[in-house]
Amino acid sequence: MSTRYNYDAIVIGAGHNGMVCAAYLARARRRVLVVDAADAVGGALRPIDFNGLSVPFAAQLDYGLDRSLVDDLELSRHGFSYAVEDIGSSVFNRDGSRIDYAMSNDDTRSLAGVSKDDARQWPEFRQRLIRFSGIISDIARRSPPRLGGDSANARTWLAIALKLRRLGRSEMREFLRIGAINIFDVLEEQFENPTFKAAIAAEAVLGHHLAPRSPNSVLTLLMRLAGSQGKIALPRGGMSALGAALQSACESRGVTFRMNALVRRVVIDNDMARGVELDDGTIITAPTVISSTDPRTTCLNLVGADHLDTGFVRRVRNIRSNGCTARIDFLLDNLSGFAAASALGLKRRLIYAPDMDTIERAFNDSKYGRISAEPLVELVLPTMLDASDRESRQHLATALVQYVPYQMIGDINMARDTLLENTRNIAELMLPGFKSHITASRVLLPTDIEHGLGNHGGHWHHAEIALDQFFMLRPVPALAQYQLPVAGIWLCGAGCHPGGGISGVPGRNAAVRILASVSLR
Amino acid sequence: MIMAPYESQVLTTPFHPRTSAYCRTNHWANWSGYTTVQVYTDVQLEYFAARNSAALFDLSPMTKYDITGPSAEAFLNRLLTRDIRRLGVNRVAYVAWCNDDGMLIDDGTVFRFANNRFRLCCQERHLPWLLDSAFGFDVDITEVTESIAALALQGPTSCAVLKSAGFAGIENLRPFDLAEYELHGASIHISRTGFTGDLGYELWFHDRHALDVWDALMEAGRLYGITPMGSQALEMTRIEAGFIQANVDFLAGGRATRPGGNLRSPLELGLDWLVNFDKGHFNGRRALLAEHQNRTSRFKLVGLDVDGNKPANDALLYDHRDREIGVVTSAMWSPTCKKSIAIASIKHHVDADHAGIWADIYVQRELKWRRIKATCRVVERPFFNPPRRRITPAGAH
Ligand SMILES: Cc1cc2nc3c(=O)[nH]c(=O)nc-3n(C[C@H](O)[C@H](O)[C@H](O)COP(=O)(O)OP(=O)(O)OC[C@H]3O[C@@H](n4cnc5c(N)ncnc54)[C@H](O)[C@@H]3O)c2cc1C
Repeated sequence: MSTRYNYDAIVIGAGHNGMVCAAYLARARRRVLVVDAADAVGGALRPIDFNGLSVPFAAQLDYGLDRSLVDDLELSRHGFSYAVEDIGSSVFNRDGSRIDYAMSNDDTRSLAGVSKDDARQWPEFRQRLIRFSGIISDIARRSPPRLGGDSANARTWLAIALKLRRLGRSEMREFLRIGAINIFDVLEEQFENPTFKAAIAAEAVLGHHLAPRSPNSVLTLLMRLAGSQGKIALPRGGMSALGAALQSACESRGVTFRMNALVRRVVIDNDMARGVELDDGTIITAPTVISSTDPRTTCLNLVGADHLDTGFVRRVRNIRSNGCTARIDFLLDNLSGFAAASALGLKRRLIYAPDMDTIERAFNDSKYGRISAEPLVELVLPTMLDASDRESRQHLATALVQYVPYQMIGDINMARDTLLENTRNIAELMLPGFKSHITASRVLLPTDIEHGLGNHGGHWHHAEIALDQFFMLRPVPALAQYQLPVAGIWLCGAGCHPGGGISGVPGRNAAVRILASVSLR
Repeated sequence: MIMAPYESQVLTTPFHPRTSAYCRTNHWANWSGYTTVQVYTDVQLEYFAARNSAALFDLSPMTKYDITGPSAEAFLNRLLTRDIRRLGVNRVAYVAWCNDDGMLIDDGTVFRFANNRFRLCCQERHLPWLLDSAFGFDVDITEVTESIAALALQGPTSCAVLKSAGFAGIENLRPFDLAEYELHGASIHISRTGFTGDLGYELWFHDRHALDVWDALMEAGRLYGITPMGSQALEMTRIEAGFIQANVDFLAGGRATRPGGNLRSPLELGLDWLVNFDKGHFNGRRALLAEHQNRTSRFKLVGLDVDGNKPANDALLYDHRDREIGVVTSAMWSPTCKKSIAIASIKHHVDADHAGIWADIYVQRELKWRRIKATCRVVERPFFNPPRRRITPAGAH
């Protein structure tokens, strides 16, 4: 390729998707630069100093890192491995009683507390979800077709149709029936135990601005299961270790990193990308610029409405990207005293969800600008899960809490305090004695996440996942092929198909698409 | 406020006290929510006033937007297909704008009053589109359709009428020039523009001055044959001038609800000269560039000279092998050209000079229908194009 440019491609954002994309491009011998405003790589996995301990900025568990990508990029050679590959979950009721379950296996023995009927129904139901999620996972790996497009499009549709057909007639009908409805109705049909239903509903809504009764909350559940059939894992060394492994994989293939470099805009000349301009005025040139920040920020801030058409801008402005998930970190002192009492709980993923109505009410609060009085909480103790992390006598507990509105009514600091207090109380209920061990805490609201990651809205998926923002409609139809209307500008972040979470699939799909297109040039 | 159809109301223009007094036929029509005169006395009389002396036309229902602010120019340059940076202060430009697919939304005129002050005039209402287009630009958009009254004074004696009304130096305005005047304390913008393809002017002013200006012009024009003109006569001059009309010769972009091919790109409407690919990005540029480079235009606009004297309104067009190739969108018997003329949209691939085009015209006399196969020749537009339209200083005639 031409040497008139500093690089063949510049990736904006050293989040995991940006690095995955960069690594695939470098594997195909492209000279790649990754620039990030932060001082360390990882995006939501970026290590943050928290009272002397390192915590990832936002993401706490691996629900579905694409395993083929781990192989392609030889991440194990770069120090990546799992501390735990299949973390069990426990859901808590208001009285502190709990049900243990896993989305990854049929171990009904652990379903203590649910009725016989529920326990009997569970394996068949779970397996069906996993089967259906296979369709979603197949869709996730494909670059979406263009609406009204060519023969490559037709092949994609055909392949998906065949997959569906292979389910068999009645299963296909069931897939199409529940695909777009809500998880509340599906679970009401199936199970009795309110807390168990709430556990599965929580899997469907975590990270989404949805409640169990919202449309397409089955789709989001299938999305979650698609990555690793319900397995929930934690890398050795914590989530940030994945970022470090990706960086090493990139560097071993010649990718250059430039940190502390905020990209102000994409340089465009004659309707083509020419590079990026940094905040300090530095211009770095490349014929291909790939942005891993959200589509709206990319289009409206980094590219600019003046390079785009009005109808397109209107659709981009209407992408729903307001986050609703907060992260709270707790620093805990020596746990030896209480570890015995709650031994089991300390190595599990703890969900607070008494029943589906509680989740629904928590969502209602946020719809009207208030933080949830009784939120949905996912709590883990990474330093307990990952034994490799054991020099320190201190421990970490990290929580994802819903729902916290992006646009809040009233004083934000009061909301922060209330949220912290509510979460502490819920943690105490799940792990009695917890509160007395807290020595420090950190609260990240969606607006903090927005600032910390440079995206619009601080949403888990950079853009809500819903049928109208899914597959060939994600994030808007004209962007579904990862490509902006301006030649040479691409998207590779969570806002693209198939969406967010630590999967790396958007980054990989984008790289495949870019390599196919750029070799044509 | 949302009104049921039976509650809706048609407004009157600021000139209503005068136009209604002159309107003998009581023939009115709803133009963009305003009742306007179709014919005052006799359509031929009004038409000939426009061609031989001076015709006064109430233009007030024209949609008008004031566009101001530091990025007004950049905003318009992105909105419109022309290079607005080249439009000087006190100049007017004929413009068009497109949707993302490069399909025409509307055409109109842009007035540049100052570096950062413009007015856009057009047929349809476009505020939502303009506001959406303003995202990312430091610009204010105000609709002034109601508060700005407008008159067109068109015809060979129009300059003389304005001069005698006290607009000194008006003859020095070049076509598409714009100047501000004061008349009895009223600020009046006059542009040498119009829809008739002849010497003519348009006057723009606050609606509170409407009746004074009307009276002053009628008084000044008494010896110059000034005649109020209704929409029907204007339509005749419009076709002779070869101008296209929204929702007649093309469907305005905002009106299309059905998918598939009912809209036209500017390249398909003979407006190539309005499209500047070198000025930077504008709405629809990528689609238009692809159309231009891949030669994928589906239609072209042509002027036709139709055999015989029957207007070819709405006629389907065929080639010598009787294949349907297009449709007439505007047609008339032109009293000045003394022939039957038409504006038509035909398939792009048709070799118009050798296709042997004929129009399928249906005429009715005393309820008896007759079908005429009229041979058509493609001719240049405008059909009527007198030198006085361009000469500066404008003649007294
Ligand atoms: C609170 C919260 C908790 C989450 N928990 C989990 C979880 O437990 N498990 C899970 O799988 N997913 C989780 N997610 C979702 C997951 O973190 C995201 O979907 C994922 O981070 C998206 O990765 P990415 O690489 O596309 O973008 P990001 O991780 O957002 O990275 C984008 C990068 O781009 C950089 N950047 C942005 N703009 C610019 C600019 N102009 N110039 C230079 N650099 C720029 C940012 O600094 C950042 O490093 C969570 C999300 C949130 C908000």
